[in-house]
Amino acid sequence: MSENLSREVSKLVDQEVAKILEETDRDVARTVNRALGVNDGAPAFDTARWQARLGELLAAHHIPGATLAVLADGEIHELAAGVLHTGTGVTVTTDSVFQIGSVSKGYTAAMVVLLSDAGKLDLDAPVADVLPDFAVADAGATRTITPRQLLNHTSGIEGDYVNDTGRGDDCLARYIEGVRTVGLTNPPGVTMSYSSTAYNVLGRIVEVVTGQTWDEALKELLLAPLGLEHTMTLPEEVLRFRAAMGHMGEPGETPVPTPLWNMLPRSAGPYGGISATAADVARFARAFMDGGAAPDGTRVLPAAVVDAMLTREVEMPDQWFLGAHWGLGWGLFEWDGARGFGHDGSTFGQLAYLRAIPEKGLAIALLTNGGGAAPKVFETLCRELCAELAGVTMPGFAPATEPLAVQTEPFLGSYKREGFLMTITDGDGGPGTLRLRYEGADGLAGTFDPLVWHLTPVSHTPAKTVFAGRRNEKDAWIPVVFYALADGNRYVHFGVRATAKSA
Amino acid sequence: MSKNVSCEAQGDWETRDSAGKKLDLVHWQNRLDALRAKHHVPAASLAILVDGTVHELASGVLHRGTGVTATTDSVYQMGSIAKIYTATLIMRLVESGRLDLDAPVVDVLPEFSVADTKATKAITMRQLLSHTSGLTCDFTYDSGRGDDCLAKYVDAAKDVALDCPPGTAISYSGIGYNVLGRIVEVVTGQTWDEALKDLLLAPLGVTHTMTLPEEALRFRAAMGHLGEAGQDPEPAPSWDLMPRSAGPYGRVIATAGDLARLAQMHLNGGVAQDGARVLSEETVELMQRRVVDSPDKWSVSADGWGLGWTLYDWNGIQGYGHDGASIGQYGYLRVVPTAGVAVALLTNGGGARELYAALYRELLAELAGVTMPEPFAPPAQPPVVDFTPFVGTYRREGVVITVTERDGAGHVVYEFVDGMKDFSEPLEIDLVPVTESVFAGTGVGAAFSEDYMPVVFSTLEDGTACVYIGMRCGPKVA
Repeated sequence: MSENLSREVSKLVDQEVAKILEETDRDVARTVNRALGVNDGAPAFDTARWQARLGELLAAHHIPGATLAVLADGEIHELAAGVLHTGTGVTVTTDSVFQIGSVSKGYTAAMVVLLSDAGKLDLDAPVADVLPDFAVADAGATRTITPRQLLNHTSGIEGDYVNDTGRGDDCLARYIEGVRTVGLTNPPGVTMSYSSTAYNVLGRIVEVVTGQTWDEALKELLLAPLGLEHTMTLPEEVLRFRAAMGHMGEPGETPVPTPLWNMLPRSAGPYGGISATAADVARFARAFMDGGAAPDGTRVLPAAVVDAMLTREVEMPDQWFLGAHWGLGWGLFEWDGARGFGHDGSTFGQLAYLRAIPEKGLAIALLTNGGGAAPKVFETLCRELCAELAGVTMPGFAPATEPLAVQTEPFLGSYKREGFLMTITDGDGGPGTLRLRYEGADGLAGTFDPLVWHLTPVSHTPAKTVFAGRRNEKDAWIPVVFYALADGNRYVHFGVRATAKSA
Repeated sequence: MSKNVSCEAQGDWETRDSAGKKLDLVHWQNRLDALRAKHHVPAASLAILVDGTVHELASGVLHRGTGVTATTDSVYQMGSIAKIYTATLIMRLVESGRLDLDAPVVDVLPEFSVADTKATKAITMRQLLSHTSGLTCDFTYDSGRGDDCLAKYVDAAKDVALDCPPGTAISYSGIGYNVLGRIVEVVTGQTWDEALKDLLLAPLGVTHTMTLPEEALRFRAAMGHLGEAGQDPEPAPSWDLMPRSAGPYGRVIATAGDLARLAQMHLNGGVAQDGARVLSEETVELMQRRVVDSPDKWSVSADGWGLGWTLYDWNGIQGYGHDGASIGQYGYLRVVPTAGVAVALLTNGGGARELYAALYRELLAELAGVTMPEPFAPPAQPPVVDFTPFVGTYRREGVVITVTERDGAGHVVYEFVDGMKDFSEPLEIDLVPVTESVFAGTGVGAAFSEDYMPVVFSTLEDGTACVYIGMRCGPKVA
């Protein structure tokens, strides 16, 4: 009897021990696999925990709603929180559609590189070869700018040319006509300056090469083959789904719905007009992670296309906005030795973020519908997810901890590009600090209240001096980089755009 | 909880109808919920204008896929109810002296033409507004999303056929309303959408009425549903199955409340809710004055047509309104001037017409003393009718209707031809006599009517025999 009992007990103990050992083994294996970037098929993603974290961050930062898709352990995990529209109160679900803004550039780039891979155009021949109507205000640049320069943001074409050319299928053709009047921020090829205008030129190239609208080509070349059934471009398509409304508000304020669902015209398509679920954005990123193969194994993006888009094309003056380099379409970063790609998007009311680290099998897509603190929410979530799921520490960006002696005199003065004027004066934060006043000029003069950033030094080399700027203590720090090119011309890199010193 | 208690608890909801009775909103919410569910309508929005106040009710889900619930501020596609907006807009321009109802359309729109040169010169706006131009109905042409869509549409509609000579009979015409929409553009120098906003929606003070999908995205928006009768329908394959060029005849998006507020302006002799005058009393009256009788009194319950308005005669009580259908969404507006009552119902599919028929029968009886006709159906003992005179071939643009006699009973083959040939397989319809010239068609789906499709034989002014199916006139050709 007692022998039986003790045998039973020891059997139970053995079973418990075996179970614990097995779990420990699994944990160890998972950790090891994760560190090696190997998918062990185990569901390590703690949905409940991240759901709670997402909700907590949205509430703390006054973000109306968001959806988060995380590719980890070979699976896409989908989360949603908040409301799509503070006016209607409709809740966010994982199948809700958000505007992804400039993340769209990754899609347009993929189409162009695909067409190039298929021999339909030459990335290094002048744009004018494939698009005879193409011209910018500078005749020399018109002749030399290449699709590659458009893709890696070194064309120098003023980046923020918005022109509402209507709802029709001719909207891009008409937009290109208007580009004739658009000037340059810098000569083609000399520095990186983020250009949405350039991506519309790419969109038009897609139309001319395929004989389709950009929207149709997107469906045929990418969405259908990749099975992205919740990705679209036109409002009548968005209406099939729960759709997010944009909201505006400063950090710390409760944001209010924007006056229109889309503040951008249809002609903003190739640079910022895609709407999608977070999961579909993660699926798109995944196409660059499995060597271009769809989940069912079919290869949509040839390896050459993936390689080309993830190859470092340009070194960024500002290495922190997204990463130290840009490829064809994607921003490229290296965190903790792990290389990744991504993009941000903003549509005046909706903010989107994508980061992917192929070697860790990790992709993060966060789509939000407004609120000034969305960047902070993304940074926090991304940092925590990268650390937990990939063991990668995301670098931070902040002023130098030790005071840095910087001669500010070379930076003082005016920096002007079409529509915008930046004035740099000495700051009131002590030696080495600067004040950046940002205002509308030309056609945009007086259209918004001037904004002021307070700059504190981060680092200094003869080639460039980096400052961290913010408007107030609620803002996240952003990089402001002063640099000179080989020709001696001085530039400031701010908001990923280069602006030459004018006075 | 009894109805009275809950009604009192609602405070502000309490109001009296024209007969001095209280409008029991709890009761009507219950009826809306029950009838909507019974008839498999996913969502419905109901606005009741009584005693000068618009009361709004909502029921169901806007989209069976997303499960978003319907609220009173949800917007629906209203289909042909858009024609009332275009008609009102035209009448604003007529009032301001910028248009003449009886001048030929070509005076203001020289590019307008139909297949018949004489008719091209003769057709007037008054005829377009009252569906008596003879223009055919079903010319759908996707001229794109751009602001030039109506100009292109009118250009593409050049030389379109007539169902019957101008001014001889009613034949419901969508094209006619697109021509009117284009006239609005030419006269105002704006798109139809912009002119609608500036000249009608703004003076009306309505904030939930629009024409474009990007505008609808600001609101909870209904998705259309399609399916077999008697079953829960499924979401339509796309939100928008009509091109932008369908605007003036079929694309205004609104809440039921906003539709009731348009009716309120007409009911108030042209004065909007805030006291602003939108139309003169004379114009309002003119729009309601009968231009033409409708031989088919059943398809859309019409006894006749005014300028824009469908006119009803409910045992001597006069009313006006309009029906609308875009694929998967259905709307109904009825106004009873003597009672100061208007009722707007917007739905997103299912047995919407049955819901309308049942709900309006109860509502209009109680609020306006109206007895709605029984649903269209043959009598228990159908009359014996000599069918021989009706046998033959009838033809209108895109459609050939072959009428035969089989074993003493009428039979119709309704065949789509030419530009319409891909629209549907031929429809086979058996006819049961209702009167000597009116037949109840069977074997056609619920898309057209409740259970039976009215098939009405009539004659044009010049004596030509014709048949009405779906409010469209088909003259006899052989």
